[in-house]
Amino acid sequence: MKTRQTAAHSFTAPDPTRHRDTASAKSPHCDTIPKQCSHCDTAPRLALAGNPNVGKSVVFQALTGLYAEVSNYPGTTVDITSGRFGSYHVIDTPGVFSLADGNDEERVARDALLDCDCILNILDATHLKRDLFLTLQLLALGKPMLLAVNLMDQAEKSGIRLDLPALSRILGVKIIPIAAAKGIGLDLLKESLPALSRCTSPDSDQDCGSNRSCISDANDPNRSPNTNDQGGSPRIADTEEAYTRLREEADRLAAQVVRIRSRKPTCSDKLGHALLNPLTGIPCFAALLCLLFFFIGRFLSSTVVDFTEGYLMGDCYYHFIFGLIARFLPPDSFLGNLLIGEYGLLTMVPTYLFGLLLPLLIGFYFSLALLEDSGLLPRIAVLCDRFFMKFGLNGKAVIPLLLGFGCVTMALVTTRILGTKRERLIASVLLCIAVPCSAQFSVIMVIAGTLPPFYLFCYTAVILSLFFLLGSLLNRFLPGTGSDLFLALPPLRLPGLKNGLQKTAMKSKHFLRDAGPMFLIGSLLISTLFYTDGFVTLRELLLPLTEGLLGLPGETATLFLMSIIKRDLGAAYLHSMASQGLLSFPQMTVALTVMTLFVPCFASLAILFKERGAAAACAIWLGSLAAAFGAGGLMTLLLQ
Amino acid sequence: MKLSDVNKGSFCYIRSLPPGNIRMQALRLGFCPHAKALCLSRIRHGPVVLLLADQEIACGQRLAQRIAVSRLETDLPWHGSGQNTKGAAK
Repeated sequence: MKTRQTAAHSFTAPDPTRHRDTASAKSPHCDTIPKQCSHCDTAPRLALAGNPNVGKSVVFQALTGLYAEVSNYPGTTVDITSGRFGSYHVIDTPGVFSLADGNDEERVARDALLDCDCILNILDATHLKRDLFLTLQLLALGKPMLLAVNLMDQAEKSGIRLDLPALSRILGVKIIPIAAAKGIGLDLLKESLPALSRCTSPDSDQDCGSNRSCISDANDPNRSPNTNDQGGSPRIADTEEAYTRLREEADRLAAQVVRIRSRKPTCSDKLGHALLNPLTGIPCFAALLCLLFFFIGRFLSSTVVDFTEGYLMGDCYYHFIFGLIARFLPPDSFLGNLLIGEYGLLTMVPTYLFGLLLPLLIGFYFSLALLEDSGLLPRIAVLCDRFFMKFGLNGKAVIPLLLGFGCVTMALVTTRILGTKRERLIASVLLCIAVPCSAQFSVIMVIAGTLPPFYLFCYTAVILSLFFLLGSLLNRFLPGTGSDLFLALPPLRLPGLKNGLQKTAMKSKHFLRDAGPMFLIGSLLISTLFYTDGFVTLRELLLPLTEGLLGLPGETATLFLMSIIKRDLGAAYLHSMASQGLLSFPQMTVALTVMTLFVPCFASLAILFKERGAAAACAIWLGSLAAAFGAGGLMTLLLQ
Repeated sequence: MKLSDVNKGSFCYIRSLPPGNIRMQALRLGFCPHAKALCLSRIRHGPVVLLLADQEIACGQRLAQRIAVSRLETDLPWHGSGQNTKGAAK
């Protein structure tokens, strides 16, 4: 291996000239790169690749201007996101540790990387040794590549010095030091990218980043883990022998370019370790949950929602719109009923969407965004590992399950981070049945805040017991075994306010886009049923269920119908029933139980069909219906 | 000894990893034979959290029982000691 030891590179402000000079050794292999563009008529595809949690999505945002979700746990990106930067079609791939096809994330990333024209590999300066493993695999793909070493500011703080010019010479690729979250080095990165696409033309004389002759064993064509088939696409070998060789190569490289000064543990280290101790960690997380409960269940519901729903939408908007429409349309006509009736398009829909749910959701999404950004989720996963083993899962399952409180649909996609199909199925069942989505959860917290402690205890006990029972039964009867927890923990960090607000805005927009049409459909359907007396028939049909089994008033038939259309709509209606005093405390507890366990919404069902197959999706849908009414009936018996 | 027996605050060398997919995953992270690690946390009947080359890695209990390690008695500096461990192990 040709290497030269040079002075360690300390990160201050990037100097464009220096990097161009040091990292632009002309590649002798430029013209041997597989012809770009299987699709010559389209823009060159630039794939962002890297280990999980190294900042790919931040770089993607900086390049394309599009918001890609950024969090501080592995598995934030589980699918491809794409945008445009100059002439490039930029693809943000899921973070992977190698190009194997062990799980869905890796398969998605691998396919994107095999299909792209050039690669921007993002590395974490604080874990360069770990990240070089993937870099070596990527280099062997033979595509033009640029390296961006991110988190240089944190590396400097941690006493890590990197000799990037030396690494650039060894690898034969241009390397740009960046601190993406602070925007440092991004201009240079943007300036350097156009040159990369020029390498893809057959007669290019640009540096293509394919000068791999200096890398010895790991990329030897005869021993390479990514050997090229004759003129075909690269074959990625993922044998243990190849991995061992790559790891040794990465370690050797790191030994030459990384210097680490010993340091004392920081406050963040100490806090991180305290959170991994059950004696201190569990009380801390319990306190966080209580804080969330008081923030949403007490503060938001009593001050913000009282104002938005009661004053803004009730006193101001409702009277205005009712008075306006009533001038032209009699309120008891069909059209009048459709527009300004009890379930009207202009009365119920905006009141539920903007007066009740949106303020609660903004608070909830913001809290969740801070939690995701802080790095606490993987630590909760460690503490919960033992608990989840009883359900045939490992602690990692806590990530999709907690995210399910934000949006069950998105959480179903995140189950891809789990190791086996069995685990993904168990997590999906638990998510669809026992985890309420954000709107439901917020309303549940608001209603639960008004319940006396005994009823609150009964509700919590029944839901948790069902969660346990369901998990244990699935673990017992589903064939196969679970995988072991093996998780790289991201560092703890202070959540960024900007990212938190961006994520909240994106999720709120997504909620309105997703829930708006369903609320309109629900309003049209229910108003029509109400006007045509179809409701009376439906109510009578469901009487054995509502009054007989559950001991609830006949009006709850509306609640169930709304919940089938959209759980959020049902939740809002339940809140309205509770605030009108239509339900006693025991009835409220029963209705809450049924609502929590009720069937997944249409969007979740569609994802279930896609991810788990039709049979599993139908079984989960019917199972949740049975669980909801079964548990509701049991609760009625208990409270009688 | 097994990784699950290492006490919190102790250093150890990884001696062997169980075969299969988990071994491949471990290799990618630099969690390989001869690597030196510090046990940061050991939850009773639960996971072990290691610090290896400045990276915290959590291993479930069943997995920790299948990883062989040898204990290193000397008191070593906090961070930065995860590099260049091969020579020391030999």
